[in-house]
Amino acid sequence: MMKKALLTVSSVALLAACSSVPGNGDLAQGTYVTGTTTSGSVLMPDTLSQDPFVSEMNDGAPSELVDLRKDFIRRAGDRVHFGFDSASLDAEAQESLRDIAKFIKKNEGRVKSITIEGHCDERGTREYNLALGDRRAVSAKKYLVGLGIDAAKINTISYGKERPVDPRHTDSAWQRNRRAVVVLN
Amino acid sequence: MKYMKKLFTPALTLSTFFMLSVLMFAQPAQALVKIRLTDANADPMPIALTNFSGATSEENDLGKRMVGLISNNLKNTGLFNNISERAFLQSDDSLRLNGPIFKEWRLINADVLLVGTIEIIGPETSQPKMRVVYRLYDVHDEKQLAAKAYTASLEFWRHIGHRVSDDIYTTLTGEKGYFASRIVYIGEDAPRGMKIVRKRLCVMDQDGGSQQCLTDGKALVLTPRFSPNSQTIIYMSYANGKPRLYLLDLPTGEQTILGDFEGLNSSPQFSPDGESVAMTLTMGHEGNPEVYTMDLKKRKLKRLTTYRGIDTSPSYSPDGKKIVFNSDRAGKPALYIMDTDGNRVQRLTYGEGRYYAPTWSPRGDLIAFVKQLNGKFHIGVIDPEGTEERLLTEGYLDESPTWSPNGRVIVFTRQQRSGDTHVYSIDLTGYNLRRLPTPTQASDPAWSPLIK
Repeated sequence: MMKKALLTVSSVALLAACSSVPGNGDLAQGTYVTGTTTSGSVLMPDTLSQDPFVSEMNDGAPSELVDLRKDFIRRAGDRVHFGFDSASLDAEAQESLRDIAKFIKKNEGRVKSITIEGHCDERGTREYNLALGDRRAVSAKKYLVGLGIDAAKINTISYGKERPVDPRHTDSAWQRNRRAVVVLN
Repeated sequence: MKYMKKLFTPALTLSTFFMLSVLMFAQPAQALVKIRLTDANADPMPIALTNFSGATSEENDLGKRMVGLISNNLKNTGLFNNISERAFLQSDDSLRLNGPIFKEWRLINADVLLVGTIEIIGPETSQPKMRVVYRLYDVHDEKQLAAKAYTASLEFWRHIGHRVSDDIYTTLTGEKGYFASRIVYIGEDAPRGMKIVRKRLCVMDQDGGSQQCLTDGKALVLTPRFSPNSQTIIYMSYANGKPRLYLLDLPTGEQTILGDFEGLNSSPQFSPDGESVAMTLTMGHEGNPEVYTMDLKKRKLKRLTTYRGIDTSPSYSPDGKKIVFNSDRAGKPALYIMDTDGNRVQRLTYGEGRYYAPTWSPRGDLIAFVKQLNGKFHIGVIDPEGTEERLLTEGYLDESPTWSPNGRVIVFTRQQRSGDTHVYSIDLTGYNLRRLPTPTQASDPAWSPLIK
């Protein structure tokens, strides 16, 4: 219950905070929840991703799994971002995926399967974006498989532009929404 | 196949319309008064629509509602100037007794006059019927242009009103109408306590009447389309956690999965004969969405495209011989046409910007599309030879065009920068932009064929 309250409060604070912590890709991407205190914006490691879809997914999930996901987001980040109408992984995305692969390998016993979601910004048609989201998810999957993650463990799913993590209609929102999210199961 | 579920209690099914009988009792005279649909600057035709009269207050009330519906249909075309009832000189009683006194209608500048009667048969029975008789007159020539009688169950009064509207449209324009048709769309709302926009499969008459939502909103549903006989809707749903295509049989409310194909299953579209479905699948070649068709009887899949990038949004030509689709094979999304066996692929669009979501007109002469150019989205049309392109709209995000059954009007989704999303209609001339009345926000419209 505590979590929920934090989630709603934080979504506004996050917007102001994300540019002020240089060097932390996760923050810039809006994966962490930040709180505003007198000491400025602080990372609140106990809270889940501010992604409403991640938080919804965790509703009712077993606590070990929720802990695993929290751990995953804190240590590796759970997503990579893409350029406009692109499914290629830039250097930053590749680095994030290496962190993700490292975490998964280290926690092999805890990770039963992996779902990679592909998402798009709203600047495209519904059907084209469903196809593009599929390409993004698969692009991330192939990279992880190249790093030694078992392909049989990974499912992909495209949501097209249906699940924007940032509901605004700005360049920065579109950037945040063009993503592949790695979900551990 | 495996997944079958009753979605709703079928209330207003289309098959019941077959209880309708039509009687034409006059050879319509050649209309001298005529509307040319290609002339966007023509003055609207002044038309006087008098209330269909009956013998009881119930009949008069129904007659008034029906003419109100007809009046709204005609007004929405932008082709007619509906003369206010208050300007009428000849009274309802005089009309009934003497027939039209054309001089009085000419005095108020009417070109065309509609009169009619309505009778409710067996009002005390469990299945009362109605008989509607109308006559359409050329006021200047003092000639009858059309006359017909419809008999049908009382509950189908809206359908009869739409049929009469189509008759008037056809008489005065020489083209098929589009009023007796429905639109399936995705209703969007966010009930209290929900974090995510709820999307439901909904249908309505083309004028926004007879609204009904067919799914409960628990699963994300997208891109519905009617079958050619309007009895089935195919749509995409994440009901089982994966994007799959489902067929919804309207008369029974039964829902079946088209197939549980690995990966993305999207962009469904019926063939004009209703025997096949074109769609986008990724199957085993993941990350590579391709256009497929499926023979619905044999349940056999056929892969039509083999390009490594995105191929999606297939739409059949009305003769069923070709498919237009969307591909990024040339580096940016453009439109292509191929034969239905996947051969003879030809690029259709070379213009600036990015093209999406092609939809072939039921007349065959044009293909509607979405174009993204300089930060704006447009609905446009192009001929199948690719020689002439025309943009009809401009918006923050216009998409998912669908044609009226007669190929004269396009309905589409317009999302404003505020996020507000509704379904709009525009004439092929580029005029008469209008928001369709829906109880919630709305997207992904698809127009049915004419319902008989």
